[in-house]
Amino acid sequence: MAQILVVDDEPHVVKMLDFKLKILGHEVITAHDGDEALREVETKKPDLVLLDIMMPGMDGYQLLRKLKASEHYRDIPVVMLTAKGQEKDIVHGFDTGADDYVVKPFGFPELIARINRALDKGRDQ
Amino acid sequence: MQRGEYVPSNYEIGIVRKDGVIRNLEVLRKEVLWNGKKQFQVLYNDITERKKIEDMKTEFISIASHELRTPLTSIKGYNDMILDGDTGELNDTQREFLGIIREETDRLVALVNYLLDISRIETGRLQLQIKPIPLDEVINSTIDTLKRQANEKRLELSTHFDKGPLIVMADRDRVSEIIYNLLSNAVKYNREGGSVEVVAYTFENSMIRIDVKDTGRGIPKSEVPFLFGKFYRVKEAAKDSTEGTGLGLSIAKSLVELHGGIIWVESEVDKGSTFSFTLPTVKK
Repeated sequence: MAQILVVDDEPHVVKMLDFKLKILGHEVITAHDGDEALREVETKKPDLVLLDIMMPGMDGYQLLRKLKASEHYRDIPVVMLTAKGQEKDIVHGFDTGADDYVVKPFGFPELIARINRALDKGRDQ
Repeated sequence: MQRGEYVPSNYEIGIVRKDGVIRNLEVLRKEVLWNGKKQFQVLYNDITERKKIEDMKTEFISIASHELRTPLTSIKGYNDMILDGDTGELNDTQREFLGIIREETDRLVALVNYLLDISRIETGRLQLQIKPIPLDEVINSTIDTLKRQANEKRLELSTHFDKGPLIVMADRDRVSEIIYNLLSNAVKYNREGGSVEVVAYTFENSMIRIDVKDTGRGIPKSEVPFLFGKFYRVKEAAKDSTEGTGLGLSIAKSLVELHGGIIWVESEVDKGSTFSFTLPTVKK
């Protein structure tokens, strides 16, 4: 099982993902904005980041850019989990370096399948 | 001598006035005869205010959609966890009621997605990725997504395709959306044990025609003219079912027309309906 960092400024969404991922046997770390998330990545180096985009302070795109520019963290898979569901947003997410992109509201079967795939990819690297 | 009426060109221009203000102009043209020669008379129409309102509307829908998606994420997620048994066992009544919440939430999610689609279509921001696509493949994969609902109603799903490749010049995701909207209606409003048939064949050389036939209750003639309008729901169907947003057919019509096709329905009360549309095929 993996250590997953959940980054979202909506406390209800964080709590929900924390609950579900723990049931599936994962260890969960949470952060409510990009700055807090970056500190968690630096101290705990998670196996995967679930990342919202629209957050106060450093937003999801900025954090994603930082992670993918860093030789220490660029291999950590990042799955965007966001309400920004227009085609241009999704393309921008992939262009910025996201490993996958899930639009809110999501169904758990899809989210879990994408998390597992991203984790497998991360382990192969 | 003037011939015909002003028709919009497919471009707009921006100008900077002497006082530095930028205005958007729509270009309209009309064919005229001048000294026996065919000429074009051009009219510039100031659409700056109209564009401002369109931009505001798009921004409003985009913000509203985001603000709706966020609470819907929690409602759907927590409800699904309870229904999946993540928080303990449920009795039958709890399961039934939570199932209703799931259905209604999914309907709201569909409504938000539809509103965004409509906004993009109406403001011309929906860009089609036109490529040759195998229509039979798109139809079959769309049918797969509806198999569960069809089985629940014991519906027979079948397809009949013209021999040879059925290639259309179209946007794959949007064609899939058109077919999904028609097929999901054919399943949703069908009778128990009925059937749904999808037929695709070459039509008038440069087009492919797709028919989606159901054995539902049919649509009264008096309601057909309103069927493709926004938020219209057939009266009898709306009485029996809380599902449906009244936007699926309106979006299907817009998407078909964006591809240069047409859509129509033939229906007989108590027997069923056939929704048909056309898409351009690859030029030979």
